[in-house]
Amino acid sequence: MKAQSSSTRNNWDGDFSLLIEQLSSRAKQPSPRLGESPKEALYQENKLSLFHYKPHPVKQKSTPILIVYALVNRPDIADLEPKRSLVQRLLEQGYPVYLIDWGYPDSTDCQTSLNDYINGYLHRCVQHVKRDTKVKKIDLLGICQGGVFSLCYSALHLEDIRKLITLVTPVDFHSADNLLSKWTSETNMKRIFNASGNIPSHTITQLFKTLKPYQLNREKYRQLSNLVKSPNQLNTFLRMEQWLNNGPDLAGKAAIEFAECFYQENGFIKHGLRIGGKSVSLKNISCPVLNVYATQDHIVPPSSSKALRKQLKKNLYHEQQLESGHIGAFTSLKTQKVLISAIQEWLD
Amino acid sequence: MAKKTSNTPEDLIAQFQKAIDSSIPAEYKQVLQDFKKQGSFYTQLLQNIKTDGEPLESFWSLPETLGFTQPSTHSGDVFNSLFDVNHYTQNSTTKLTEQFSEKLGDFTQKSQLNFSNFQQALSKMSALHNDLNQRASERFNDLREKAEDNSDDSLCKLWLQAGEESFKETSQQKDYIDTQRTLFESLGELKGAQKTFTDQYSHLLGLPQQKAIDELKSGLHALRLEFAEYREQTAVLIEKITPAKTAPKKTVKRAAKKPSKKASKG
Repeated sequence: MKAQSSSTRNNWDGDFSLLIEQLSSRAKQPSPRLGESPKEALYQENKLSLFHYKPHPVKQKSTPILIVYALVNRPDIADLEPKRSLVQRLLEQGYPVYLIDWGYPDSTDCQTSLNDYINGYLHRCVQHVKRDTKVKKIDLLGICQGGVFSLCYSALHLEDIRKLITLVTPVDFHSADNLLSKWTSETNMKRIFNASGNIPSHTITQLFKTLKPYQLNREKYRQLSNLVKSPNQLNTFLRMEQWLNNGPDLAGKAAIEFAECFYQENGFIKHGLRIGGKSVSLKNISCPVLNVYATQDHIVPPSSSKALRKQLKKNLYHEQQLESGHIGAFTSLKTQKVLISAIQEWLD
Repeated sequence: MAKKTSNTPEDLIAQFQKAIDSSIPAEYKQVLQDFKKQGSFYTQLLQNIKTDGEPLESFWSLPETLGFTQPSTHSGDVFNSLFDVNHYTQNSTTKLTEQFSEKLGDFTQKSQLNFSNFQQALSKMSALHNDLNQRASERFNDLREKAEDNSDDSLCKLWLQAGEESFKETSQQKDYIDTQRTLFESLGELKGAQKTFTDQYSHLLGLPQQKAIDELKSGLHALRLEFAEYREQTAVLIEKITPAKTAPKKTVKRAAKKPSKKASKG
């Protein structure tokens, strides 16, 4: 921190000094945590937990919603903090809410395949939710890669799903603006990652940070004045940092399969996708689908997500646009209102 | 909210160090370190921008931006990260070869080929990074000439815009994509060679080899699946033979305020 005459610089130094004071004064308080909404584990299998959230004191809807998050990063982001909790917003509307926490795979999980995740873990969780709520069909809400899993599941298990919501979910992995796809389309994944090991979370974190390197690695630290002015904003920032730094490793086999089936072979669009020996065609989906995408999503570009329209029967497809980025789609105070209103209107 | 205090840079460094040495949670220390690092970066950036003739290219250095400013040899893992190009560049002459030699003993022909591919790709990637820095710097100067606002905030935004736009162009070029792929694949293969060597060494010491460990993992995986299926079938059976209960209440009277004791870590 060199001396500088600039008033902006002095302001930043002053803000940094305040940040030090504020964090030092919290030494004896617990750090703000994610995923604090009351819940109980309905089912546990290996590292996975299926959670049921405590309902709000409002009239309850009859069909439960099962949230399926990605394997990359933790599902806690769906319950970031009370004001920015997708889970809380759904509970307020009276939906029975369930969520799959895939846990932290270790080296003994490296042979877990996509089939194990979709036709194994996810299938058993769906059956548990059905039994717990005594319904024949449930609603699925898949986020990002969880949306891909939910699409596969809905195409393979027509009898289980009443309605499906896909949120910031990639469908066409070869759309023109998909940088991740360009980087991986010709890569021999098996040469880089050994299936007898997992893919470390820090490698995945770095990969995503590299998509917008200057924005994600530098710019956010320049906006210090907003944080020190508001304890709430500082808490949100701390929770986000915690979420970004606590991702799980990826089970080697499933990660390689996902890269090959989707990023390389573009399975949903090219129609060659097979999971567990069965062909997966989105044309088979028989339930209505609400597809929600974010206009400023740099991880799943809108074009990738909107490609779902052409893959489904016309009368089943519904679409909702959100003015946000990938995570802001369900954590931003502004977009959450639009999202919940669209979900409620469509589900009821 | 505490009022801002006027700090000299020395006061601020002392305040920062005191916090780092204190008992605040490690995650807070990390946040402070991150802010300090980026604060220093922006200070230097603005100083260079305002000093005529000072080179700016290095401010878009990708390895530096991604946080690989310190050589990671202390970790003892030469394959610490696929993205740690800066580290490999710093060690790409003798030091890295020595490290590989230590780990692998005598290189097989295949390993030598991989290592040669890796070095070539690394050198090409460094050139591409330099090209990116140059391109971003030129773009920044163009943007700055057209800009009416010359405040620090505006300059930082222009720096960001120049960097992201230039990166978007560079990162989608076939040359960049091919080089990155070769780099990662050859690094992956070297990692594989390291594993093979370690495995052979384990065999000499009478320790379990990778094949045996993989078989154990397969067995455990199959058992877990079998057990899960068994539990599922049992649950279905219990449901069938259990008399149906009354329908659940449609309104919940009271919201739970505390997590249930059953709830595990979320």
